Amino acid sequence: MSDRVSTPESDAAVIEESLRRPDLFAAIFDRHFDEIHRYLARRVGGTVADDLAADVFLTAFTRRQRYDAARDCARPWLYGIATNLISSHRRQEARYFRALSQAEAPPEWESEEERLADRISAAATRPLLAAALAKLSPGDRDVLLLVALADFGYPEVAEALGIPQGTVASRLSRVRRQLRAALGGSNPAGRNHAEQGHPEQDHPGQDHPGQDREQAHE
Amino acid sequence: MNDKQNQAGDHDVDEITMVRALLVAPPPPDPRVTASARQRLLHHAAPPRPSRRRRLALGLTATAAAAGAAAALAIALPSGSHSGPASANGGLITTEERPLGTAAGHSAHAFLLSAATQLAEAPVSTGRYWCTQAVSAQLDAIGPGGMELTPQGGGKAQPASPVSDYRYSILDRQVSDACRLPDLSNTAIVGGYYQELGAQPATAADVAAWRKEGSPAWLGWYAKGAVIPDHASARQATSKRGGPAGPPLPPDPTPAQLRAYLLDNPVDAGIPKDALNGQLFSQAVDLLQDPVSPAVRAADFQLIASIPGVQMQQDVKDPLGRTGIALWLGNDLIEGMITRTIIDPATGLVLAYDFLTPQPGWVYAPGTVQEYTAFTSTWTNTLP
Repeated sequence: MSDRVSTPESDAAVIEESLRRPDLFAAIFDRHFDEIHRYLARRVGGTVADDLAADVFLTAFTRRQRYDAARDCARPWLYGIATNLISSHRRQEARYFRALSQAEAPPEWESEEERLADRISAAATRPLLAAALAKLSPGDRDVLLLVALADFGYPEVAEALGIPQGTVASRLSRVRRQLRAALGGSNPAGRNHAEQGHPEQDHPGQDHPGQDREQAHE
Repeated sequence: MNDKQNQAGDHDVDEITMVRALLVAPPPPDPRVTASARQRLLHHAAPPRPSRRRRLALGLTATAAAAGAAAALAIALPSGSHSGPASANGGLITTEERPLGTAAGHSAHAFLLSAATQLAEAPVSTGRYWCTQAVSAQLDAIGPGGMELTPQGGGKAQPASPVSDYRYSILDRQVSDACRLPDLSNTAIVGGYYQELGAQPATAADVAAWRKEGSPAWLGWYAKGAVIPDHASARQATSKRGGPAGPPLPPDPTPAQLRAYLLDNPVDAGIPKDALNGQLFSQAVDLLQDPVSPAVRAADFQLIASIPGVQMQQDVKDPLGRTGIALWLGNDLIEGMITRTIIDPATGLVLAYDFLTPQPGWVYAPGTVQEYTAFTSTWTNTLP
């Protein structure tokens, strides 16, 4: 009897069924492990990602009763769990970004986007960009990296982080301006523009930005 | 808000594309990393032990080997003595041996048709929610070291454990409640809960045998050696989004219309032709769990009476002590057990499913209730 679980059902149906047949949850692992691992590896490096990716699925398993059955696809949920787990590994993330900022080329692997990576490297933006990433507040960085690495739109990011879509929009807008400013862009003065009239509604679970900045700099 | 246009991918080389290029995609994880993570998950996923729920589709292709063995069933409720030979008195029940559909004038056939006539006159009731509470229990045979024995017929490719390994039994219980809306086309569960009640030695004799073994924790065969918890877990709220609604049930169907409807809307596609009776029977029985009108229940009774191979017993006590009729297909073995559906003929409601040891040669005597799920279905105006 193979213990490989394969089924054409939606993630929601599998998770629902796994309440009675817990072993079925392996199908969620089989569908999404590589992708979640990739996301984590891009944020904290491959070694830390190996452990964290396993933790994501254990955490998801223990919380599966609370999965919103109206969500067919579990990707935003899993990315949200992964993102929350990273919050307890801010130091590793900061260290990883710092390593990136000093490396001339991707440290340990070949890139799918090598051509563009080379171009960015050649333009000497790599260190600036990596340093800027490390300085972002955790909440802002989470939004940016879910958009950039998971290819999520506002609704999925909002679902993953448990925040309103308006907050996603305002955070992303602020992040773009900060990065542009860090890279010597044209609009550094616009920093506080979007926040007026649209106050940020921070998710209660999020760290305070100031606290993270200290960690990112250590 | 102008941020809307800033969704990922709108620009050529913008900040987001640069971030993507900076944080380049790594190679996929080492297969050993994936395997180890998967193993960690499965280790956690094994408990709580899955209850062997009624899965009729699995039973449809089961052999007819036990059809004859159903001839002399004895019920031993799990709270009573289960491991001795079936009692000759009181425990013995009479079995209808002939298939209903081929025995015109048969008392059971007549019984179902008569019950259908009375049901058709029953008043229609309704409410905001149709809630079904389910109490379920499984009797597990435990061997040396607290390890659950591999049951007869439990593992497709796995032989049953030797009976000589048997030490004592534990009873593992769960309770759940699930509420849906009166609208039949909406299969969503709008409220409910699920709770593991934990496992305990089934009788005083089992407690003694368990202590004699050194009071080991129970390890589930089904759950690949994970510990079966001995205490109740917290209630977990459950809900379920409705699946795609099939065509509506005819409002006042004849048995033939109902039959056509059920065959046109199979729960499980790809059922082999020779298993169609089993499919029809399971769908007809499951329909009685839905909030359908007395008229539909009456038609359903007539339909069940027409299915070849259906067997029936009268005056059967369900696990909660309620009296009903038990129906099963002679060849319907699920995970090696005879699966009966106990129905209240006056209301047309399913009272319980129970699973009986089919034949001699196992730890439990033929007719022992090894597992059951008892239902209490009501209309309510508040969710549990």
